[in-house]
Amino acid sequence: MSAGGKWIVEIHNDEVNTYAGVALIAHRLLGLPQDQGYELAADLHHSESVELTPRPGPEAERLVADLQVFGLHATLREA
Amino acid sequence: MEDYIRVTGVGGGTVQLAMSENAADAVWHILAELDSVLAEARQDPPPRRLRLPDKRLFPDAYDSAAENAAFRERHGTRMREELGAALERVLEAWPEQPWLTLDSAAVRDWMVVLAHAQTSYLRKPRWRASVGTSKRDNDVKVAWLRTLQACVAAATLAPPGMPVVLDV
Repeated sequence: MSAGGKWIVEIHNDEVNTYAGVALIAHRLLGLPQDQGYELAADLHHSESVELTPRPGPEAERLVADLQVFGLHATLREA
Repeated sequence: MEDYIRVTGVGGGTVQLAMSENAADAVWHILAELDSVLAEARQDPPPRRLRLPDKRLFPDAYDSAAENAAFRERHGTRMREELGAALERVLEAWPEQPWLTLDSAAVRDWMVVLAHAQTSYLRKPRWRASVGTSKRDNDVKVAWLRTLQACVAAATLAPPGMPVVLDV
């Protein structure tokens, strides 16, 4: 990971995380209002992945680690 | 008597969890098994082959192997410790009677633990697994853990007083 630049956090659809689970994690970890948490879960349910707003590398890495602790399949790529 | 798990939101991110005795016993044994597997990594020295190494618990964060190794070096220990600490808190707070109140922090612990508890029963890493491809008993456990996690999440987000019930 280069120190500069922005990184995109991607959350991937899978068969084990549930709609409500993703919505709650989005609410708690991403700080989204509940309805937007459900919207993100719906977007993910109907696609392969959703991308979050690009952010600095260390912050993006920390978020991916936190999402993975919650059991989500989260990855990083350079914006 | 029918077995059940009932989760009801009470507001402020807190839920009440009520289980039949059999359901509570089943959840306890699954979580105790996860605790036993995770404890391997804390042995000194740890066994040569962990049943749940980091690569089974957490997916690669990058496409590049070198970047993945660096990511695990920076974050892997904390991630495994957070899972272990969440599980320890869930087990320590286990009630004598099969009902308990989960505050916001406890809901977080249950969400983390119920996700990773599935890993032991899946043939593939959790993020690549298809539901219904493991041994039958294991499929039941995975389905059960997924549904319980969904109930906790749905009840946490639902208006207070609206129960979410899992019939077992």
